[in-house]
Formats: sequence, C-alpha cells, structure tokens
Amino acid sequence: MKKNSPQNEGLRNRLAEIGIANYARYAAEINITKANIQLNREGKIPLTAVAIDGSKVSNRMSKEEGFSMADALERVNGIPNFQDVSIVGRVLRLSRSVCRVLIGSAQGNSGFGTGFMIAPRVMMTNNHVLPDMSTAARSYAQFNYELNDEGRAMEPVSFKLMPNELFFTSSLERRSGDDLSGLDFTIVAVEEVGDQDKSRLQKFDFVRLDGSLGKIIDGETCVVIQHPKGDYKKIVLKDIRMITANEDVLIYESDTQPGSSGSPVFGMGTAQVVALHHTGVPRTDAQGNWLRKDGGPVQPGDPDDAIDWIGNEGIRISRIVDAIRRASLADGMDKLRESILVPEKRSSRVSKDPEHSTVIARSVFDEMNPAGKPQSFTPTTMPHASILKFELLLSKDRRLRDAWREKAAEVVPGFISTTQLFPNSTDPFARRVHYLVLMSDGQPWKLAAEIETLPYVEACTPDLPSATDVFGPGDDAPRRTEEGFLPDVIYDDGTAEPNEDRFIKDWQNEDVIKSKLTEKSALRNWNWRMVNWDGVWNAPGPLRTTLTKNLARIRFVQLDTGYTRHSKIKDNLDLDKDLNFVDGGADAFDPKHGFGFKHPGHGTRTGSLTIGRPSKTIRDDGNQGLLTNENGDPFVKLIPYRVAERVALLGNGKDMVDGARTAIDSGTDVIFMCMGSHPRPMINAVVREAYERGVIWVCAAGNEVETVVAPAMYPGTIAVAAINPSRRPWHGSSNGPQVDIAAPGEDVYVPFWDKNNNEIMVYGNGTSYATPHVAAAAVLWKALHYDALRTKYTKPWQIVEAFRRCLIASKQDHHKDTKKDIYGKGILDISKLLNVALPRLEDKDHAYAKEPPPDPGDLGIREGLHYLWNTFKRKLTKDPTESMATVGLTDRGAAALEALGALPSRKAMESTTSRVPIDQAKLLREMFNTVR
Amino acid sequence: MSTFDLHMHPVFKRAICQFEDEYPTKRDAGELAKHFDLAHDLAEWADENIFHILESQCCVDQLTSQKGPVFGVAAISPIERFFTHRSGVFGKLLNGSFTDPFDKTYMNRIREGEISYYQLYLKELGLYRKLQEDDRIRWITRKDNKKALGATDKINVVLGMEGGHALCRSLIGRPGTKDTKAKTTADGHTAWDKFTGEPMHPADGLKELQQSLWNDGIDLFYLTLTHLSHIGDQFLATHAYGMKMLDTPESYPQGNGISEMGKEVVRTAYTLNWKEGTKAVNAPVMIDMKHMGLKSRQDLYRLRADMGDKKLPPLLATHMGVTGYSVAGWKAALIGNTPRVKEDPRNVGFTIKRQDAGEWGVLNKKFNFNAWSINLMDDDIVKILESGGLIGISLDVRILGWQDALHKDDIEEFMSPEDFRCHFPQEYARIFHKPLGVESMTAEEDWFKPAKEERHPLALCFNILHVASVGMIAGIKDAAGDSIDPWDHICIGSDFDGLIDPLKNVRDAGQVGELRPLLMRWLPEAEKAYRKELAGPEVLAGQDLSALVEKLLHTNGREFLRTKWI
Repeated sequence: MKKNSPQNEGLRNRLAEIGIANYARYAAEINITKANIQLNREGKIPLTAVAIDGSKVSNRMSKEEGFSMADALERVNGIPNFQDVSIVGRVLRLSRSVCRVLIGSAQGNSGFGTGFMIAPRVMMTNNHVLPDMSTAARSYAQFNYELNDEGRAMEPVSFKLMPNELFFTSSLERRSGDDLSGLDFTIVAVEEVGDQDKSRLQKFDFVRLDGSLGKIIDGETCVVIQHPKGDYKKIVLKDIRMITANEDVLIYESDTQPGSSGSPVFGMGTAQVVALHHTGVPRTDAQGNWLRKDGGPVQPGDPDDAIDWIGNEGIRISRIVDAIRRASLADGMDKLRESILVPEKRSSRVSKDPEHSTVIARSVFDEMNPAGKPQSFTPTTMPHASILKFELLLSKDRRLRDAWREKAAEVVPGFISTTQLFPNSTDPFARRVHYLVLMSDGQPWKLAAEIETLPYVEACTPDLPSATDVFGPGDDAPRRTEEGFLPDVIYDDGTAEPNEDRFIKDWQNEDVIKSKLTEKSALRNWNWRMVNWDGVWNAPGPLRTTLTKNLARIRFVQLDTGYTRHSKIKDNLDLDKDLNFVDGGADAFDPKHGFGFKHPGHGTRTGSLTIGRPSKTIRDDGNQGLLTNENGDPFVKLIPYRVAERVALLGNGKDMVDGARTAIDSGTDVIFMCMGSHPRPMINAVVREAYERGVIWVCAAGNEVETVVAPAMYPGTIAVAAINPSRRPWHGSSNGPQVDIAAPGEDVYVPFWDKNNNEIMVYGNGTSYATPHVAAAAVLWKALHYDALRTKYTKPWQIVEAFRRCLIASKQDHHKDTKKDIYGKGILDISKLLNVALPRLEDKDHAYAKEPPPDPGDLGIREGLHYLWNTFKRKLTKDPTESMATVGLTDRGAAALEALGALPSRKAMESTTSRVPIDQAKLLREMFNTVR
Repeated sequence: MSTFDLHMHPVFKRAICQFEDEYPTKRDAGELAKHFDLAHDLAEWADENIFHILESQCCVDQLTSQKGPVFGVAAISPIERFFTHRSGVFGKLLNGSFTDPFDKTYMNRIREGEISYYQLYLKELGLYRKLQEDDRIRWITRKDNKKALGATDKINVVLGMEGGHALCRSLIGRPGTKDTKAKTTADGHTAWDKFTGEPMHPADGLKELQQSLWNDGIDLFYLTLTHLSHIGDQFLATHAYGMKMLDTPESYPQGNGISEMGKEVVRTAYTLNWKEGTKAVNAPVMIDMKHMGLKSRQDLYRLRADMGDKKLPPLLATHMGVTGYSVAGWKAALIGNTPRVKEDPRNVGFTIKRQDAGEWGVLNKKFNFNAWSINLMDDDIVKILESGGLIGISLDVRILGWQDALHKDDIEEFMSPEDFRCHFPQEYARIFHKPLGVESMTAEEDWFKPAKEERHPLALCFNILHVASVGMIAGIKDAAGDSIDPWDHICIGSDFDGLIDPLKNVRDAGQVGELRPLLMRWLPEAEKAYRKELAGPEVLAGQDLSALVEKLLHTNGREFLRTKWI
C-alpha cells in the first residue's frame, strides 16, 4: 500500500491497535506458548506438548490421515526440522494462486496488496485492501509477478475483478450485532480471461479453504506467501511458529516486518491455508508508543524493519468459511459462493494397519484418549448444509465421557458444539445426556447412526420437530362429530362460537349441573364444584390465613405456547418473569395470536383455569381461575414460558427441556404442562431432574392417542386424565397405569375468540383442561404446608411424592362404570386434599425406586417411533386403518417398524397390493414401553 | 504494628493440595502453616500472569512474618462444582497438569458428587483447629473476646463462611442424598461429631453449626450468602456474575434475588441464639453481601426493613470494590446495543460503560472502576454505612478496576433474565425482538492480564476514596442521630488465597505492612485525581493521614469487632 499518506498511516495504526489488543488479550497463553516453543527449539519438549489446550493437538492429529496415532505424533513432532518434500512442493504449487492486487482508485493505481484464489473464479484479500465494490471494480489481480528459476522477471498477467458477479466483505472493525463483521476479508469474482492474449485464469491454481479446525497447532511452522509492498512474490522460509489461536485470529511469530495485507498463511504440517494475514503486532510501551528493536520509541520516518514486531496476526480460515457460508449475498452470487464451499475430497481416516495402530495409540495416548483411536465416518460438509441438532446419551464410562468433550470437535464432521444438559444432576443417567449441534446436509437419522458408532456415544437421536398430542385448529383436527372439538363451533382458524345450549342439553341431568341450570355463573364453573373447591376466601379461617400468607411465596410456571392478551388472563400473569424458549427472545408472547391471524393460544385457555379473572368485556363471562380471590385477583401470578411453536407442534424438544431446566434452576415450586409428545431420553432426564429437586410437575396424560404421552408417562410427574360432569372419563383422555388422578376436562368453560375477534367463553375438551385443576391444587397444597414440608422431609423428591400420596388419599371416586385404575385412582378433591396429613416417606417410596433404568432403545425403533407418532395424528383424522408409506424413513427405521409389525414386509408389498390394517394406537403403546 | 484483614483464606491452598479421607487431619501443623509451592517449571518464567493467582498469598507463615499481631477473618469456601469442570483456561489449569500440587482426588470428589460442601467446610476448619491446637493461631470469639482482641502477638482470627453452599449437607449435586462421613478418631470437635451426613435445611444446619462451634470456643462471624456459582442443589440467592475464566452453566446467575430458602437462612442468621446451660444468648451471624447479585442485595435490604433493621446486626461487604455509580447512574451507563440473550443457560449479557475514577498521576491515563454489578453501587455503600457496617476493600486488581486502555474496553457481564428485566425493563423489552446471537464455538477465554499501572496502589486508593466520598455526600446518621464518619467503616478485605490477582507490592500477607507507606504516599495523589474527575468533598481534609491509614489497616476492623460484634 502507498506509504506515508496520513490516511494510510491511520489505517496502519488502527490495524496494529487491533493486533495489540488481541495480543494483549491472550498474553497469558502467548507467554506460555512462546516459552514452550523455545523449549521445543532447544529439544526439551516435543512439539505436541507446546499447546496449552490438548484438544487442538487432537484436531491436528486427525489431519494426519492414514497414519496411526503414534506415527502421526512422530510425524507432527518431526516437521519443524524435517519437512516432507511433497509438502514443500504442494506449497510451491499453491503459491501460483497468490497474486498482487493492484488497488485502483479514480486517479489510477493507488497501492498494492496481496490476494489469492480460493475457487476457480474467486479471489480473497483483506477488507482494508478492497473495502468496497467500487474500489474492487477498478482493481486488478495480477499473477506471475515473480522471478523465474533463472532469476528473470516473468510476464505478469492481470485480470479484472468482477464485484458484480460476487462480492462480499467483512469490515475491519467489529460492528455490534453483526457477527460477520470484524474479520477484515473481501472475496470477489475475477474475470476469466486476462489482459494478455489467451491467458486464462484457470492456469493459476486455487487454494481450497477448509473450514474445519486442526490445520495447525501452537508451535508448528507456518509460511506466508506474499508480495511485500507490491514487490515480486516472496516466501518467508524462516522458522516462523504459530503461537496461538482465538476464535477469530491466529497469532504467529515474526521478527521481521509484517507480511503484506491479504497474503495466505500456510501451515507447514498440512500445507493448508490456515489464515489470511492482516497485520503485524508491534511491541509497545506502557503509554502505547510503538517501540524499535533498540528499545526506543518509533520515530516518524523509521523504516518498518526497525520496528520491534512481536507477532503477526491473521484471520482464521475456519471463521472466514463460516462467514462466507452465512453471508447474505446479492441475487445470483450463490453459485460462485458454492464454488468456494465445495469440500475437498477427503479419504476416510482409516489406518493402514488398524489393529496394530489401535494398540500403539492406546499406549501413547492413554491418558488423553482412553478409547484409543476414535472411529471416523464419512465427512459430510456440503454446500447445502444446515444446522442439525441431536440429543446424545454418552457412554456409561466416565473416561469416555470426558474424552468426548475433547474429541467431539475432531470426530464429528461439521461439529459446532456439544453441551451437557444436566451438569449438576443427581441422576447418573441425566448426567450422560448431551446435546450436539453440527452443520451437515446429511439425513439426520443416518448421521445419528454414524454418530452412534463412536465409542463415546451410546445413543444419538435427532432433535426434530414433533407433533404434540393436542389437536389444534388447523392442525388436522379430528372431524368426527362425536369428538371433543365440534366442528360446528370451533373453526379451522381457531375461532369458536358459544356452545352453552349444547352443553346444557348434554349434561342437564347430571348432579353437578341440574341444580344450577338457572344460575349461569354456577353452571359455568361446575368444575369448581366437581373438585370440591369454593375458593380461598371461603376456606375455614386458619386455612385461609395460611394460604393467603404463603401463596405469594410460590413460584408457578406454565410450559406452553406462551400468553396472549385475552382479558381473561392478561392481568394475572407474571409478565416480569416470562420467557420464550422457541423464538429465542425474552417475552413469552404467543405470536400466533394477532388480529388477522386469529389463533387462540392454548396457554391462554389452560392458564385461565388457574388464574383467569372475571372480565366485563367478555360476553357470557364465567369460570374464574381456582387461584384467584373473590375479586378475581390472583393469590399467585402465573409465569408463562413459551416452549412450543404452536399447540400441536413442539419445536425442538430442547426448547421444552430448556424451559423446564430454567424453571427448575430458578426455584420453581409447581410446573404444569398441558401437551406431550413421544418419549425421548432428554425429556425423561429433565423430568427426573425436576423430581429430584422437589419441583411438582403436573402433566396432561394425553388426548386421543390413548396411551399416556411424555412427559406424563414418566414416574416423576403427576399425570392427569380428564373426566366430564357425569364423573366418567372423557373418551379422548389417554389412560394407563401411569395416570395419578383425574380432573374435569370435558366441557370446561375456557376463553376463546369468535370470528369477529371478540373475546368469548366456550366449553372445550382435553386433558389440557384437567391438568390446571391439579396444578392449582398443588400450589394450594404447597402453600399450606410450606413450613411443615421443610421440617418433615429432607429430600426434595419427597415433596412431590407427598403430594401424590395426598392427592390419592383425598380422591373422590370415579363413576362406578369407570374402568379401574387407568384414569387415576380417582377424581381430584381439593378441600379434602388440604385436610389430609403429610405421609411418612422412605427411600423405597421414591418414584424411580422400582423403575427399570432408562433405555433409549434401538435407533431404528426411535426413528420408527418418531415417524409413527408424527403420522399417527394425521391418520386420526382420515381412515385410521390406512397403511403407512415408508417415505422419509431410513432403511433402519423401516426395518425396525417392519419387525414390530408396523409395516407390512417389503417382500409382501412387492407380491401383493393389498394393505394390511394396523392398530397404530396399540403399536404406539407398545413402542412407548420399548423406548423410555 | 497490627493489621486487620476482613477476608482471607490462610489454609485454603494447603487444604486443596492434599485430600485426607480421615478426620481430624494427620498433617503436621508446621506443614499446614507453610507456603504453597507451584512445582512447575513454567511457574518460574511465567511471571506477571495467571500463576499469580496460584502463588501462596497468606499462609500462616506469611502472616507470622508481619511485624505486629495480625487480626482477621479466616474465610472458608469449599471449592464449588463448577471449578472442577475442565472448561476455560482456568478450568484446565485447575484440573490439568499445570497445577501439580493440587490434589486431583479433591477435585474428583467434588466433580463426581462424592462428598458434601459441608463436610469440606468442616475438614478445612479442622486444619485451622490443628493450627490452633499447635498454638499458631488464636480464635477471636464472643465468648473469649478480651484476650484475643487485646493480643499483642500472634495471628488472631475469627471464622467466616464464604458461600451458603458450605451449609449444604447433601452430596454435591445430589440434594437430599446422605453424605458419608469420613473415618474419624476421637477428637472432641463438636461440629464434626454432630455431623451425621444426613441432609438438613441450611437454616437448621447453621443453627447447629454455630452452637457446636460455641461449645468448642469458635464463633462464626459472617456468612457470605452466595459465592461464584449457581448452586442448584440448594438455591439461596442469585449470585453476581464474577468468573469469566470459567465458562460453565453454573457460572451464570439464575433466579431473581433471594429465594424463600435464602430468606429463611438470613432470618435465622440474624436471630441466632446460643444455648448456654438453660440460658439463651443472642449470637447472630452477620451477612456478607459480596457475590450477591444486585437484586439479591436489594432483597436483603427489603428483608432487613421487614425485620426492623434498627435492631439487626450491621451489613458487611467483606472484599469488594466499587462501580463508582449509583444504581441509577449505573443503569444509565448501559451501553446501548450490548444486551443480548444467551442460551445454555438462558442469560442476558450486557456491558456497562465504566466510570472514570481519575488520572494515573504522572501517566496521564484514566483509571476506571470495575462496573460489574458484583461491585458496590453508591446505594449499597449508603445502606452499609447506615447500618454501621464495615466495607473491606479487596486487593484483587480485577475487582479494583482498569486502566482505560484499548484492550480492556468494555467487558460483558451476565445476569439472569429476571434480574436483568428487573433493572432494565425497557432494554429487556427491546431485546426480545432480537434473534439469538450465534453462540461462539469455543468458550471465550477473556484473560485479563493487568498492566503495571493496574497493580499500582492508586487502584486501591480510588476505591477507598469513593466509599468515603459517597459516605460524606450522603451525610449519614446512625440510629441515635449521630453522624457516621465513613472513614470508620472502611478496612482491607484482601481475599488473599481466594484465587485473586493481587496489587503490586502487596502480593501476599507478608507485605501488607507495605500498605502503610503506600497509602500515605498515594491517598493524597489519588484524592486530587479523583476530585478532578468526580468532584465531591475533600475527604482527606483535616485528617491526620497516618492515623487514618492506621484505621484502614487495623483499628477500624478491630473496633468493629469490639463494638458491633462482641
């Protein structure tokens, strides 16, 4: 670049400032590494001992393809002194791709930089070389500006830059909120034909960018190929060592003037480009003055090589590749971008002598890698890759789990992160649960199968969106008129019409209804009478006093779709504490509700049964929440957590797990959740976690799917079935031995909107409505016993178990026709619940005492279950005996379903067109028991 | 020449370099008094870096090397689980081969949840008892006060508990699960004998501990309610984010202030009685606000008001620095656009512009207070002074503040979403529209390496002056209507051996005496610079400087014990 213009001086200073800042930030690591490098130069420690962070070494080892760990170690350690000729040859070949950038301005050439080709038609340099499209459009890439082996200047060839075809730049300065900024690089398309006749760009090689980590380790040698100050192409053959790397930059040694802006930095171990050079780092004194090698401050006019350069800094290629991948480009630029991101064909990393190498690897790497060399599988970095998420159950062996943290980045292609979901859990099972995020274009279930082959991983399940058990409007709601949601009153867009007449007609002969036919408010809160609750204000004196005092101490969280501004609930929610786990923001507002897109929030209806208040604006209002006072004010506010995309769709399972984890960690007393899905290890684990921490988690047993859904199916929860005014089960209620109790869930009066967006109340069905009754009871029970619980029980889980015992001890009977013990032991009776004594509990009463250890089951079965579950709901609305197609299933999943009898055998399918009817509900029930 | 230190950890490093299964310790008192040596080649040349933290800072031998008698608080803080994860530079350092003298058994037991924090507390206490039995230290207690406070030789310590997690008697990470008590030989240590391994509510546990200590002639002076991590097993209060060197889920604050359980612990601590025969003697334990999140501190004031704070023991801030802001000023200094939602666990990250404290004398560069909410706001200072409390200024350069240099611009801190919303409702509403930032692939290891200037005693002086200045501006009166002189309520709380990076010239307890000439020299300089920057009253005017320094280093602490505690 042009020297000495004040503008350039300013830029150089700013660059150096950034370099100094980075250097200072990592000074502690740099000092250690530098000292280690010195020890390595003196032969005192091996190269692989230089790095502070051992995981870098493992990443680097993985690049030594085809060598055993021991050999790889030896190779890497030998490199600084003995360099394979092939590597030098490769670097020289790649040096052809390096060009001189002639920076153009309106006045002509204004300076020089260095650049290099990263795809057949794309060049990369620094942002501070080509900051914008207009500069690029006036600039050239010039190749062959170098001396040949006879020392004569070669004929240079210049190519125009074509920013209109591809241009992306990341500024020098990091801009807040833009994580693609601050990387100081520019990529730009290059014209295919040069200024010399017939000179074609393809003559000059290009350097393939590798976005993975591990191309170089601390202490390894690197070389910079450059046009220093626009001079002939040079390669620095001094022993320059890489010092350290942070997320964005690599810092490497230098005692000479800094390299030219935009030069590639190659790792000499792998001959791969590891960084884009962008600045030197001068030594400074306490006042920030640059220092000369003689120790004095740098004076104006001092040459660059008088300056005491302590390091050089380059932008990491992995960061650049990530930025290129995520950059939003102008239309038509994608094709050239893809040409950069196409992966190099990599041979799979299989040792030449696997058996032998494994043995050696164990002895060499005993401590680092107890399992020996990890297996690997096909790399899957592809241009159309997207982010995929998996839940993992790691090995029972702690050493393998420890190794996973170190190794994951190395052995999982496209690796982004792995997180332990319950680092502080009581439960050895929960502590094995991790969450893996990676980038791939592979089929998730196939990737899971590959990941399961790793020794660290026992089970790997894709975390894909799953249906819930709740039928939301617009989500294939059942159409059978005898079903819960009557199509004549509830529409596809989720609006409804009042249906009180139908309600009266159906139930006028039942005890709980018939005496109140003329008293509308009592008619509408029949559920209060059913659970034998008359409000805190009507409770006997001492009980009322205790409840009034202690209810405010309770923390009460709902995991659902979030809240709406329906006047039934909005003032009784705790909107200082709500959180949103689906959309990433902070507010649990349910965006699916809004004018023009009417969709009543599921959370609004279920929440209203606990804290709903009377409202003058609601036509035919009634049925306030069980936890409100005579004026409708709440004794305890409800904290909504949004964990589900919409009523019928759980997004990633982790959103729900995150919501529950946060609730547990912030000291919640009662959680309730009125939706469920198929079983999966992390839901199992988070339920257990809540149980061990003494959080009462009340769950809906499930709707229409017959079998009890997760999380209600797990022993740690309180599972609730639904009954109707005749004390009989609602026919849609799931049932099974896991159900603890039943509560009103059929024709319960809940808030809706009508077609004109007016707030109304409608009688609706679901175990979703039964659940809030029991949650409210749990809140009252906990408040009543707040102080007694802490003296009576030392183990947090005993609180949950005591509540379950008290619930059952105080139950009222089901209608005599009800099948025994599958809709819970009876019906909730709140007044009696608040009158039973706390039970004595022993360790054998722990809900998991007799529970077999959790078993994720075979991957094929997990896939089949996910598939079956998500298709089952569709089937409910159509012909329930319809046979299923295998579209979207992997062979393994299909084979598992076939073995379980869920699919007709493929052989049979070929020979006959007849379709075998399958009882999917029965099958689901079986599979729920297989996968826990 | 005496000194007083409100917060130090004289046997901590000895405790963690050898895990003993048995109780009481079989180790020799002479060994327990010794320096802790980092036997690693790297430690030699790695001057001026993280190894400072691991150097021995206040072992008994170092304390003994002071010229006069030493008074202070021996704070015990069992290592929390999050220190044992191998993440972050620090995690790797503590759990890797760099720290040879650390006993891996110790870290493993904690990581795997094979012991309770309470047992670890008792074991470290056992080491002090060994030193006491060997006549190397003397306990200061309310039972036997005159002797100790009047001492003219020796190390005189009172017991502290840093972090309510030390009250948790369940296995670490396994709430409600019984701990297995280590093998015991008869020793007559009541607290140990009474400990059965059975889980106990922390408030009950505190009562039992204090009674047992009393029987044995020991006395718990204060409880720091939280420490550096979220303790899910026994959640007492939301902590203040304070550990950038470790990136584990527990580093990030959770919850929204003091929990119901925490409130009960505070109420119990403030109203504790000893039983002496049939007589009940009032024996409260003070609450130390260090490490409590801002919302937790505000909850504490509210709780005290509800209890009638006039009759409660005073507030303590045992090893803190100042933000230089009032709460309102601090909120106004939020740098727009910095708040962001963080996942795993859910948190809000944000950055506060740091308050200038003054220029560094001759260097002509600004010094800034550390704006993290782990430090005292002016409102906190006023509350403490009103209660007649005591503020110990830390000697940790990271707490004291920064030079306003390029590389230490604005450092992000974290809060639980609820706490953040409580302090910044509008900002909170704004960020919910923002998509989640992409999490960085590797934990950010923002290593703070102090510059020479930051190790300078001026950093300490600025913090001291700010407390005095706030106190004078507020013109605080005590319950009797007499003016409270803030100079009577400031002392040193070094936090030596609490994994700190200490000031230059006072790298360990042996050098605390050096603070006398340093404060004499630099307090007046600092006052000029401070007043030039922030105005305020002339806090040193009319003061006899050498008497003032004596108060800061010694008499304030002792007087506080004598008048407010005993």
